Amino acid sequence: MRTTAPGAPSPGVIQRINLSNHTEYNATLMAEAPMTASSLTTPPVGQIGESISPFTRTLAISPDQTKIFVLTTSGLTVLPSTFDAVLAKPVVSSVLNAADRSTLVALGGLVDINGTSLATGSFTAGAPPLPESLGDVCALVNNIPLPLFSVSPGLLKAQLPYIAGAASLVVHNSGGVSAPFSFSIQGQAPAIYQTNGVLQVIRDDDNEPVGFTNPIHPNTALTIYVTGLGLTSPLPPLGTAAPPSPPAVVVTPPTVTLGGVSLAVTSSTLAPGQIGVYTIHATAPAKVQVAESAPLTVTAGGNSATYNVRVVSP
Amino acid sequence: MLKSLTCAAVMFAAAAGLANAQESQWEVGGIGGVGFSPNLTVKNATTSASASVRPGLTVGVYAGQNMYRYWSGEVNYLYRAGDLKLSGNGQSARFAAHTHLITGDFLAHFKPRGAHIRPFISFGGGIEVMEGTGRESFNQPLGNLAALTATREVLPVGEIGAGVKIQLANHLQLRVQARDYVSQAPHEVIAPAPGARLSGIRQDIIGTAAIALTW
Repeated sequence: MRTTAPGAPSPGVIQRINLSNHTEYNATLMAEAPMTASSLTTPPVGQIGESISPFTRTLAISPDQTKIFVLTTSGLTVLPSTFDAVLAKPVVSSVLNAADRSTLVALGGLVDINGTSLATGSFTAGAPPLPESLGDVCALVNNIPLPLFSVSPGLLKAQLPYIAGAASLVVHNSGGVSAPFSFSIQGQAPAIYQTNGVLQVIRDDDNEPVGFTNPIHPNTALTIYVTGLGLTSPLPPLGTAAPPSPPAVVVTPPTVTLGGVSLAVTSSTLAPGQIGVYTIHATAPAKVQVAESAPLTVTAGGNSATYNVRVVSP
Repeated sequence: MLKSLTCAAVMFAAAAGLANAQESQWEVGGIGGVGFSPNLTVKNATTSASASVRPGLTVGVYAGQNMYRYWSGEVNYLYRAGDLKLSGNGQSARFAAHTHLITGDFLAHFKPRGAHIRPFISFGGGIEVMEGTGRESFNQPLGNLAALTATREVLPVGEIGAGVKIQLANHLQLRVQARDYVSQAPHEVIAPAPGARLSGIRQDIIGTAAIALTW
């Protein structure tokens, strides 16, 4: 392996050498030229009784052979030992809402972008605001960069822009640019979050998710975590956390029914401190139809999402 | 406890000899005792657990009429305390609960009306109102088998029993009895999970002593 450049102003390449026939191959462009004796700006210093030549060896391999250290004109560059691996272009296969993995997605909502070779590794964003480039990956919808929660080879988690209608998604990374992926963004497309299969419908009286052993009773107050409720007032900038006060109130509130009977919706807002996550506060009716599996439906913007929950009385 | 109640009954029986025999037609009394219940079983394709109603204090009231020489009829109300318990696979879940028993019963006596000591057998029926009152939890142990639920369930109940009435005085009667209340398994308070089945017959075997006014 060697680095070479015609001169310090030229970045040059790093390439492998076949020692049996002394041929070079897989030359890969560097960002800057390797350090050479002529480019060494620090003059050799003679010490008492000896003369020291400029240090010109510029490549070293880490003991575990996973990294290559390159002395370059402005310092040290660390490369993976697989620097010359051929990277596949990213391919997008689906865009699903992050709440229940259905295909209905809404503006400002959180989505899972599924595919292959979307990223070379796994990276997670820190505290908001979210970055538009993460792990050498960025994704654009109709040329608007998406705030990214996390990236990995098979999945990008991102927030959609505040636009509705036909959309075209492309993913950029070090392997290239994906083919455009067409999909549709709804004004509203509610979906209740599920965490490890647990529906995020929380009973306010015990602060636990609704489930078979924690059913809905008459007059039970519920907090429902959803995505896809669309525009709010105020509308936080993309990738930023929702403000605690004043709350970002959903412009067109959703309706919620249980077994076909309407619940009283007391508020629907973006969850303070979170990005693209909405909360609906609702109360079950005084009279409920007992059922081991009753449909809980959230409707907004003409789109509905239905999940089954256990209802008991009283 | 039943043994001590029996001893007490014998002592009162001796005292009863001093009381005047009188053909009282009406009885109104208060009841106290303890209820026990055999376990039910809940199981799915891969595992099982026992579902039980824990032993608990039982109190109640009754009113009856000695309509015939050997037959009487009465109405009973019992409150039976008894938490629910699911146990199996090294796990268990408890849940506060109680049961109301409201029955109408016929009593067939072995001695005629007016006797100081009147052994009897009883049978009847009514309703059982079982109420789960505990705190539900999403993470209830053995939730893959059954959910212990804070709800009310009304079930038909049948009753058979036996006991003895002892006339302590003209208008005071002691009764010692054991009754078995039988109903179907409570599928709403102990709700079997999808794919699971709750089997067995719900029984409340209740031993009680009662003091009644008669006239």
